[in-house]
Amino acid sequence: MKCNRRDFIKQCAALYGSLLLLPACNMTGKEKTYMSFSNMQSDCIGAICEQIIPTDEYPGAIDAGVVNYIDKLLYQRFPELKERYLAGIQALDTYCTETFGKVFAALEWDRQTKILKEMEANKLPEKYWKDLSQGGFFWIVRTHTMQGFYGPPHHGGNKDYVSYRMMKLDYPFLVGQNRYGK
Amino acid sequence: MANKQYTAIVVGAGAGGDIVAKELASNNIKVTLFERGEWPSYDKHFNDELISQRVQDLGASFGPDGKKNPRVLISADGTQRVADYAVNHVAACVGSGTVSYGAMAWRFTHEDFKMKSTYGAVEGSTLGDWPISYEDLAPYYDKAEREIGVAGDMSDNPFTPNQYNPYPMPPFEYSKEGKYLADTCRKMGLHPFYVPMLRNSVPYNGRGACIRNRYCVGFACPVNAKNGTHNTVIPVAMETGNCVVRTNCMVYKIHTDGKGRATAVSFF
Repeated sequence: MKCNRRDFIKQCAALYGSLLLLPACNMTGKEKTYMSFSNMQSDCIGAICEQIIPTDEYPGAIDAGVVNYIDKLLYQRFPELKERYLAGIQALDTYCTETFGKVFAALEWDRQTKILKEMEANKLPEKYWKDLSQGGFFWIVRTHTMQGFYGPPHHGGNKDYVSYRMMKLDYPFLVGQNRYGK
Repeated sequence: MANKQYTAIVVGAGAGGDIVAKELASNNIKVTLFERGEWPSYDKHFNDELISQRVQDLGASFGPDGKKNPRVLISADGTQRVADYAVNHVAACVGSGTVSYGAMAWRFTHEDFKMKSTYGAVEGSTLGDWPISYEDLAPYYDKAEREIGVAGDMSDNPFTPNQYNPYPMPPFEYSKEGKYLADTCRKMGLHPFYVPMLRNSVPYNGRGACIRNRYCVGFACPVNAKNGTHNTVIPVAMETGNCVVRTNCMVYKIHTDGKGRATAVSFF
């Protein structure tokens, strides 16, 4: 049977319109924010970074975009490190869920501090850390947190030059103006 | 790639290679200088603390690319493994480290050439005596300081062999912090002195003076006031017409004849 052009265009428009609505229908909560992490994983990393550089009179690691820095690092430069991150997050969250009933990000501040200190010293229960060194995982997260907080903003962290402002350094940077003797 | 005939070949356009190339070229010897890196450019990674030649967290600003140039770690028992973290690389560009270094211009003292005679055979050390002395090298220190360009003043340092040799440029004045330290050291009976620097304290050699940037070590100079081999001897070498600089050429083998003398190189 013949389908005239007007009807065909109307059908296409209706189809297109309903396609636009589809993502809205799928959203039950936040959509995935980062390329390398699910929301739960990025919450865990964010909680570790915030313990390392907490918010005081200056924004802490999360507000400075450190998780964004780590995300960019993993999918742009060092994809081989992503395995280590995901394994570490899983080990940590499994330990926390089984021991305290909650994931790491949901625990109280002092409890988180205690766990991280033990992780740094390789003192958490062995059974969660068979394939991955706990001290090594702590070291890599800490190193990247420092890079993300103190490095230049174009790498994804140090939002609004927060660390430069904190250290009273020049910002935004003008070539030739950051001199001693001024 | 066909064989090509050259009179002299220098591998590596770094601090040493560039000077050798210029000396050969200035004496009418045709020389080809192979460099695996490129010409340095200030604009590429300026003042990025994570991509500098000192802090290579995300890469080295003047190369080499860490992933394309993996390093192998050999432990004491002989086991080898590829380093999974970037090992700090020496810059791979024309001028190499002299583009981004801290640019201090120390001379060895008399004793450095005869450590074994001075200190004896210290156990666990490899102290030895050089076959030459400070006096043999002194005129070449003068030449290098003049041609590359050093700013300094050693008259406050009684321990150095060149206490009263003038440098081509006056010393850099102390910063506020440096002045506190120097005054205090003098009161304590110590002998602070100006560190001799391979930077232009005044306009020199056709380039302007340093602007006292706080971003210096590990970065190239935005006003080209840091003296390396890429902005001093290389232009001279190329000006003679006897020197060709081949960048992006990695020499991987030196061929020798029956007597062990080098006859050819292979590169890609």
